[in-house]
Parts: sequence; structure tokens; C-alpha cells
Amino acid sequence: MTPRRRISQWSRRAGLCLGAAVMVLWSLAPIYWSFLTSITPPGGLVSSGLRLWPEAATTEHFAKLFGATSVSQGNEVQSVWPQFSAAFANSLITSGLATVVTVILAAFGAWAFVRLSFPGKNVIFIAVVATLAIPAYTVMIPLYRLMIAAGLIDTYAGVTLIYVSAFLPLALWLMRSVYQSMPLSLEEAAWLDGASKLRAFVQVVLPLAGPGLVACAILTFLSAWGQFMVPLVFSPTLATKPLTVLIPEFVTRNYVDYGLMNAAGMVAIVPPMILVLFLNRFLVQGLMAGAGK
Amino acid sequence: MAKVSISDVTKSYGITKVMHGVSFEVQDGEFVALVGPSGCGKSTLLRMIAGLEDITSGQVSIGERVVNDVEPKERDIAMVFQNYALYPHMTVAENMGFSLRLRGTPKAEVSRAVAEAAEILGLTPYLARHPKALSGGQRQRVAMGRAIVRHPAVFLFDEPLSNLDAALRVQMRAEIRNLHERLGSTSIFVTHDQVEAMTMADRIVVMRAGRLEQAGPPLELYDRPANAFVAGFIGSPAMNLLPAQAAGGHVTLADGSVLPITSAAEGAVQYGIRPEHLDLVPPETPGAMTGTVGLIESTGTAMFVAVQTQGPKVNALFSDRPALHRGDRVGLRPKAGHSHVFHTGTGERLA
Repeated sequence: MTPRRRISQWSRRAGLCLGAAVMVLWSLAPIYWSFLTSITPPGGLVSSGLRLWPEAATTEHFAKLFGATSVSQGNEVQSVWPQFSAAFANSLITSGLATVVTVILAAFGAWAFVRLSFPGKNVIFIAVVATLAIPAYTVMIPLYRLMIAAGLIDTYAGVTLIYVSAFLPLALWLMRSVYQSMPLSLEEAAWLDGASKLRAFVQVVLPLAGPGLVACAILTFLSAWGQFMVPLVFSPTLATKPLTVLIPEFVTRNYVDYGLMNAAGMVAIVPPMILVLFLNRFLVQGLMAGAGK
Repeated sequence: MAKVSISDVTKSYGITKVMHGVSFEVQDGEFVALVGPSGCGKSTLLRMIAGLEDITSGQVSIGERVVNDVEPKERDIAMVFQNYALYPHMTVAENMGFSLRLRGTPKAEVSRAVAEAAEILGLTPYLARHPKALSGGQRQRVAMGRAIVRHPAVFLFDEPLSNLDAALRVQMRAEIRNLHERLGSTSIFVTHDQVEAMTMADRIVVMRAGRLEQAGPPLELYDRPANAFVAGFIGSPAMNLLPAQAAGGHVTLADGSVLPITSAAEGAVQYGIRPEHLDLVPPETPGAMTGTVGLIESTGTAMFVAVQTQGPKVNALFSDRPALHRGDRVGLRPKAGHSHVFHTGTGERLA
């Protein structure tokens, strides 16, 4: 290798590393900031100057979250655990339900859009996907009236329904392209082997669509977990109120409890992180290898 | 085992008619090759037999049963796809046993049948592998194994060898033929390769543009092609088809040479002579064409020579390696009784 080529290769690699470092910093720095805030005593939060590690790390904010009682500004106060745990459960339930329902509907619906022929197939599909372009706030008021009429305000069913209707189009779109890339001859082979259409779908197509389904599940769960506006309107009480709506309520008239908010935020990161780490293994490429020549 | 009857089958996509009334029969245990150029409808016809395409009109029967409206899974047929269509998430054994498992066959029975098929195809060491860990030829064999494991009434092959390299193709050709003789099952084999059709089939059905051109045993198609298309399609290298004027048991070619024919045709015709039915003679020999040697291709077993006459170019094939060079003037004399005469307009054979 000539020195010149070595230098150009080295500089290319250095540029790549720099780019990667900037991106990692860009995405991880806010999380670190939040973590830092969650272990800094309230007094330390207002100190001047940037600190990358608090003078005296504390677990008092987490204690306020999880403990029965805790000390706040010198007074013993009720901890927020009852509210926090309820909201945490609500977040898990609504996001989980939305994910399961969306993935199941998308898995079957997209297949129908690809393999079955019925009048208006493409028009209906485009109409469904076009709803992605409608901004959520334009439908909030009519949707609210609708949900009141249906008695679905502040119920899991209501929130799940809204999430599903919001996230299904994208999932359908994604699954449709997954099925479209699959050779029809696989299904035909299954039919000739004696499988019904449904059976061929369940036993041959679905296992191969795994990575697509996992991608749908991750997308839907993350979108639902991060929802703020929909639950703000449709989940007024702790019956269904999720973390995203509860945490900002830690802002009181006299005091903004940054430590508590960030401690709650750190805990709220955990479920999506676990989900992604767990499902990531199934998000593998090359599942179709070996079908053909 | 069953016979397959195709009678007056047509196929239209909207107003576009792609198949115009095809009829033929495949006898019980017969191996039939459907052959023709791309787009002739041979694969469509096969898929209609399989039930993967609707039949616009006409009738397909398997055994004594009309299957026009029978679902593919009820037709008792197995098909080997061009791209094999193996289930990538199943092992070789699971791929082969899938159809039996769907029928609720007991586990022991399935593994016995799979083991037997694997034995026949030499797949026993690979049963636990997934398709992606197999070579092209092995995948091809798994696709065949999946078909034979359940002893269907009819086997359908849709250009199964087209993805293999030349040597493997010759080998698989023999293996499929042996398998057929061993199982004695009715088989329909689609190919665009006339050599495959000639070497494997009991009978060949030649199709073009959605029409059946000729059906018959390979050598009959070679010796007595029904029309100029079949004459040009069957046989490699292809038959020379030369414009000529026929009169009184002779034809006169464009370059003026006069050649004998066995046909009583008169007027403008197409004169057909296969490259292998030309003898090398000195230039200007009566009853022969004279021309200049152009391209020479030698394969060792045969020598392929393109000769430019005063009129059209004529191809000849010699197996005795004559000492020829580009630019030599030679005479080409048709072997007696091997010429063919076709109608210029319709291409029909003229007796």
C-alpha cells in the first residue's frame, strides 16, 4: 500500500469515527443530562457552571418515586409512588394493547391488500395510508365528541382504539411491502402441498414476515409510549393516565421538581429499551435466504 | 397415477387472448415435455393444470375428473417450481414432509416417507439443514423430494433446470428421467430448451403464441415436423429454411441450384434441410449448393460450418472433421430423402 493511499484511508476512517461520535453524543447527551439531573441534589441543580458529575450524588429523587414517604425541602411528604406506579402501568397497558392489536391487524390486513383481489383494493389502501397526512390536532375535537358519545373517554379501550387508528396505516404500509417482496411461488407451493390459503399464510408467510412484524411492533410501541397529546385529552384521570402526562404534573405552582421529573424520565426509558433490546434479535436480515435458486 | 386431458383450453386476460384452444392428452405414466419460445403459454398452461391460473374456457381433467373448479390442493398434483420455492424457515426434512403433515399423516409415517425420498435423491446427509445451507443442485433435489414424497397423481415441472449450470443440468436431466422410470408417474415438464425436451420426453408438445403447433414423439418431430416453425425449433443447430420454387419433384433455390425433393409441391415453397443432412462435395456438383466457407466452429465431436451461397447462408454440420478453411469454395449436397418442403405463407408441411 502506498503511503498516500494509507493516509487517505486513515483520514476516511477518522472522518467516519468523528461522524459516529457526533451522532452518539447527539443522541446520548440529553439522556446523560437527564440522568445527571436525577442524581443531583435540588441545591446543586441551580449552581452555576457545568458539572459532568454532581458534587454529592443523591438518590433522594428516586426515593421520592419509590419510597412510601420522602423528604422534600426539609419537610416529610407523601411520595408519588401511588400515582407514578399507576401511570407506569397505564403506559404499559395502553402501549402494549395498541402494539398487539396493530401488529395483528397489519399482519392480516396487509396480506389481504397484497394477495386478495377485491373491488377498490388500491383506492382503499391509498385512503388508509393517506390518513397519515392528517395532523392529529385537526381531528381532536370531533374525536373527543365521538369518544364521549361512545363512552370511551378515560378507558383503555378508547385510548387503544385511537392509537391503533393512528399507527395502523404505517404498519399496514410496512407489512404490505414485506409481503410484496415475498415470492408468490412460496404460497403456491404450499397450496399444492395441500394447504388452504389461510394455512399457507400462517405456516409459510407469517414466519418469514417475522422481521417486518417486529419492526411494526417496535415502531408502534415506541410511538404509543411517547404519546402526549392524545392521553392529555382522553386520559384525564389516573384510570388511564400514562407517564407522559403524569410527569409534567410534577411541576407545581411554587416549585419545579426537576430532580423528580428526570428520575421518573429515567425509569420511563426502561421499558422501551428492554423491548428494543429483546426484539432486536428477531430483526435479522436474510430470513428468506434459500427459498430460491 | 392418472391421465391428463386438456381440451380446447383458452386463456384471456381481460380482452387479451393469450391461449387459443389447446388440446392434448397425457397418458397415464407418460412423460410429456411442453416446449416453445418465451411467452408461448407453456408455463401458463402448466399453471392452469396445477390450478394456479383460472381457465377461461375449455376443460382440464386429471384422471376422469374435470378439475376446472377444483382447488389446487384437491387436485393431487405436485409441482417443482422454476425458483424451487423451498420454505426457507424449514429444514430439508420439514420441507419434504410438509404436505404429509398437512394431511395429518402420523409422524412416524412422515419421517419414513421423507427418509425414503431422501434416499432416492441422495439427500439423506442434508435432512437437518435449512435450504440456505444447500447448493443450487441440492435445492433442486429438495424441490423434487417435496414433490415425490406424497406420490401424487401427476408431477408438474416448470423449467426446473434453468437455474443450474450446464454440467449439473445434464446430470439432473438424467436423474429426473430415471426418477420418472422408477416411479412411473405421469409427468408434464415445461422447458424452453428443445434439447431437454428431446432427451427427456416420451412425447413433446410444441407451442407457439398460445397455440399447439405439433405433438408427438421426439424423433417424429425431428423427422417429420408439421410446419416450418417446428422444423426450425426442434433440432440443434436449427434446420436451414431456404426460399425456393418447386416444380416436378425438384426445387430451384435463389442461387440457381436445383435440388431433388420427395414432395409433389408446386410453386413458391420453403425448402428445409438440416445441417447434419448435408454432404460435402466438390463445388458446382449437380444436385448440390455451392458457396464460400465462412465461420467454422468445432466442438470436437462435430464441426459447424456456415457457408455463404449466392443466395442465402446455409449451415452445415460435419462429424468427420473435413479440412476446411474460411474462404474455401465447397459444394453441399442434401442426403437423399432428408429434405422438407413447407408452404411459404402458412408454413405447413407439403407432402
